[in-house]
Amino acid sequence: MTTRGRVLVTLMALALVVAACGEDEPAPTTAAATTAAPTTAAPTTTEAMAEAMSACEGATLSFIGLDGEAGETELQAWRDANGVALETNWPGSWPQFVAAIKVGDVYDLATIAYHVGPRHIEAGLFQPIDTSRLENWDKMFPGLRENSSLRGADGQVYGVPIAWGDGPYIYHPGRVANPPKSITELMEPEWEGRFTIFDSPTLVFSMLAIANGFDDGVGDRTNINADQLEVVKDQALQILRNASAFANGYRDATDIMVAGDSDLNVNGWEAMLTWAEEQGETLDFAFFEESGGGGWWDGLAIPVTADDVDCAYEYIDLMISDDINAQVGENLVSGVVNSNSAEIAGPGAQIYDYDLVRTDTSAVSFRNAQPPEDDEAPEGITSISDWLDAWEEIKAEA
Amino acid sequence: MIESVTRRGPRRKRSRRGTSGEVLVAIDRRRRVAAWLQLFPGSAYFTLLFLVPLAGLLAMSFFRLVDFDPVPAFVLSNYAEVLTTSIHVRLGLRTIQVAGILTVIVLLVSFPCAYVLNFVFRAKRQLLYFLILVSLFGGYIVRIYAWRSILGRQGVINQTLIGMGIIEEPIRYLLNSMFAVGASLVNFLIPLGVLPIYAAMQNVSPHVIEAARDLGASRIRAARQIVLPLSMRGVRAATAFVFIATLGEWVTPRLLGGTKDLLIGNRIEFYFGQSLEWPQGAALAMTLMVAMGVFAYIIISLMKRLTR
Amino acid sequence: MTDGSRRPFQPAILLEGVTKRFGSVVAVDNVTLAVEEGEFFSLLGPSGCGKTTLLRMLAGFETPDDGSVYLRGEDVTLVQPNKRATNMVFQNYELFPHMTVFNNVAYGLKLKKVPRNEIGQRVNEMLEVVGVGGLGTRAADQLSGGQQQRVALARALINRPAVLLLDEPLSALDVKLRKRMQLELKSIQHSLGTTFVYVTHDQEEALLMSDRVGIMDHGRLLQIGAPRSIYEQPRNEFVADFVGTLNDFAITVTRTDGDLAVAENGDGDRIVVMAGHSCRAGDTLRIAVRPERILLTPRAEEADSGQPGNRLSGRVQDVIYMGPFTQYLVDTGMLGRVVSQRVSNEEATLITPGLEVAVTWAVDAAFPLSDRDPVEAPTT
Repeated sequence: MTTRGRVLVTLMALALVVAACGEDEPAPTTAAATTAAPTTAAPTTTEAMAEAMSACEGATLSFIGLDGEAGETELQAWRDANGVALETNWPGSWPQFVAAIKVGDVYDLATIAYHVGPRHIEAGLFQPIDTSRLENWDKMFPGLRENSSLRGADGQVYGVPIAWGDGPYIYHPGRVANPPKSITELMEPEWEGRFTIFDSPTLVFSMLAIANGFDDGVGDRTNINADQLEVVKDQALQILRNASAFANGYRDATDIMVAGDSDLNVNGWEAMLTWAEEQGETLDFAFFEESGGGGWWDGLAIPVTADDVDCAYEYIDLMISDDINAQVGENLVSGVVNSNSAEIAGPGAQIYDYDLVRTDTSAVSFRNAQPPEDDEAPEGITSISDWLDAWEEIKAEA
Repeated sequence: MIESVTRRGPRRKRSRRGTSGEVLVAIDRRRRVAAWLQLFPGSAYFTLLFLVPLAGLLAMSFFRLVDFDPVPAFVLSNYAEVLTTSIHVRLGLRTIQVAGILTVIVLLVSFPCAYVLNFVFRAKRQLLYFLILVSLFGGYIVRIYAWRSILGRQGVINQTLIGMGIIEEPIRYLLNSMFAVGASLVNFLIPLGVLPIYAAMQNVSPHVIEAARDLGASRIRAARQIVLPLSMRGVRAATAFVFIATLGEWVTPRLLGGTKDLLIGNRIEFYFGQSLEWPQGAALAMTLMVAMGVFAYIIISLMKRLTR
Repeated sequence: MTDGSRRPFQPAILLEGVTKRFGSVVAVDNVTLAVEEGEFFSLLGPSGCGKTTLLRMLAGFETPDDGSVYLRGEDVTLVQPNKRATNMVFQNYELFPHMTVFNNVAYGLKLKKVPRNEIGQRVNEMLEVVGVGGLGTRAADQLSGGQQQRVALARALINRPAVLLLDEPLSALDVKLRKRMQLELKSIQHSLGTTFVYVTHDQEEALLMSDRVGIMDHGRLLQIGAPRSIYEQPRNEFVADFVGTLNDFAITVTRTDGDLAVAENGDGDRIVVMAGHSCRAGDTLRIAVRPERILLTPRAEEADSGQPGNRLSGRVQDVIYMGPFTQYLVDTGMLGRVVSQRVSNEEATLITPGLEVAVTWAVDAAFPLSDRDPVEAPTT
């Protein structure tokens, strides 16, 4: 080969290598994943700035948890003003998250999520939160603030919610005259080929369990026995047969509905309405009776290995302050936790029905719909493996 | 020349005869070393990125699963579990069946395509061939999404049929069905089928087709009786490529096939992605690989036997 | 030949005004010719002259842009090759490599659905005729060049075509084999009586085998005739030069004598040529003489230098021994270099380099050369 040829080939090879080493997409997370770029700049109120002149100056905060939930954009200006550095880490999975803290790695802040929170609190990952140190604690909606899922067995608060949502399904009002009231309606012939669903046994089985009255919708787990699982399994099979396809994420579900190939998706997220609007279609959300209890929250906790606890408290307080929390809600397309923020938040956060959380007993249950792990299932109660086996069988039949 | 070569090597006093023999060995050794060096990057790449992970997968298939974590061990229970599950047998058979049907369809399209490229568009055939290959570069997932919009209720096919008055309601079955999976796979596999057949046909002179026609054969008969046997090597390769590629498919059935587990690949994906039973998944994957190897062998030797 | 349904005296092949263009190139330019039943007809010309294209139009692999092709009176211009009563022997034989010799030869018969036992008999017969009798079961890709050639011939002939077309079939063979095959082909054609149209660039081959030859250059048919008439009466310089070698000269006529034109210099050199009545003294003529018609006599032995007819003085420059004949390069004052070619016998050895010789040739051995393009359409 000529010299020129050699140079050309080398350049091409390099180009291929560079392309392959391109930035990875952040791992998809729970419903609280960030989808849109921040829509507003970050104005910090003067009182927030005044608060800032304190323990956090020049500090470095180390965060372990979900992307977008450490105020990366919302508190950028504040961090710049105070010379605070933020290091974010996500170890790839919840089990690795647990391992990282257990092993003793130093983290000042961590994500605490509603479905793994109770277990993580039990595992002793976090320190108790002294809520008197949070100025904005009392502004939090009672439905969130008083919820048991924030607390450990000792009754102390271990996590501070920064965003929440409910568990609707999304449908196309133009094509669905009567939004179904129960997931069991999706077994009817009239729904054949008209909806998409997520490939999740825990989602489908737990909702059916409530619909059949096998589960009371309270407490940490969905406990059903083998016979009940059989019933649920048969119903789920019928639902899968009726479903047209599995949706691969909320965006995918939206695209399919906009393209006209489905009229409904279980479950849903209000952000889908925004995305559909961008494409000129109008969607709406509604609730199954059995999932009106479902919902989620994500928050911040302070790991036991935290170094700069004072700064951590300040940071958390800022995250739930009026202005900042409004931005968080907007950016994450989720409900705000601060009742003042609810007034000023943008449309992304306005979709949520804050009446649901205005009272002590939240109409949103924030419960974890998981079945028990294999080693903790009580006698006669089906565990996650049983559910997975059942799901495996019906996917082959559908 | 002989003098200069021996000067580079170790100093030795040899007779003329010995020297020339030594030169031959020296050159041969240098050439062999050069050959090995040239093979090294490719083999290293292949070994590191293919053989090593494959070995890892093989090892994993013997591990034990403890608390959703694979633990190094040597147990055969994974294979036992995987091979005795009736769903697997059923899915396996269905996968073979689907692979067979798709292979036939792809061959029926690829052979005439390669023929037309080689003999009808003889002047422009390289360019057209490249265009066919380009569709392979388009990206696997992108193609699937393209098919989704083509086959959907508001897609081209349905809208055309409605516009022509042939149907009133869009046909739902076009998407999220075996048909959609088949259409997308065939679309993807055709370049794989055309490639080897086209290459084999390069060795067939257009004049030999003329000879057949001169003797009374129509173009189609000449293609069947002359061109096909002479490019059989390529047809065999195409059959093997397409069949084996289909056996491992899971993304297309996942995205276009509805909620059902259509092919054995979906089952393997379930093990790795949902139920997190990696050793079982690895066992099933290895079984599939062995099956692929067996099929490749059967197909090729069967075809060799049937066609000269 | 005994087909009663055919009109008598109808040519086996008639081409009328056939033209074929490839892009801007005119490969065949307004060719009209007729080939008689049972004739061995050759198309001769240099590479690229259009002879192969013409042959392919006869076979049906190309369609003329203008003009028509008639086969035994029937217009087959647009008829597909598989439906024509012609068969072709290709330059590279194009045997079917995946079949045996037998199946290759039987291919055409099988397509016509000839009964199996008849096929067997006819194939074996034909293999004998072409000289590959025992090779029926051999695979076609395991034959020597000569064997392949014969099988290709058998494969074509067995279908009893009205016309057999041969595209330089012997060009890939070595000289000895080629010479043998030329004679064999001629003999087979003669015994079968099939019309052969044979394309070649080898003029010796054409002259040897053919009943008539057609010379082509740059797509145009320049002359058709029996070998002797082509050789001895070429119509233009190209034909004359292509077929055999020539000495060609330009002379200035000094006087005329009836039909004859004479050119003389003062030294006793004289050229006499048949020129027709329109020739005048002072005209320039171009003439050509074949080397083998030029006699050399050592000056010392010259009988009578005063005889009428062509005579030049010259000196032998070079003697080239070429096996069966010898060439002499002679330097003459009047015409420059003259080439003479004689059989290599004892008499010829007397002519040595440096010898002074008298160069003579018969008056009718010379012929005039016109321009490349013939004035009238060529006929037999």
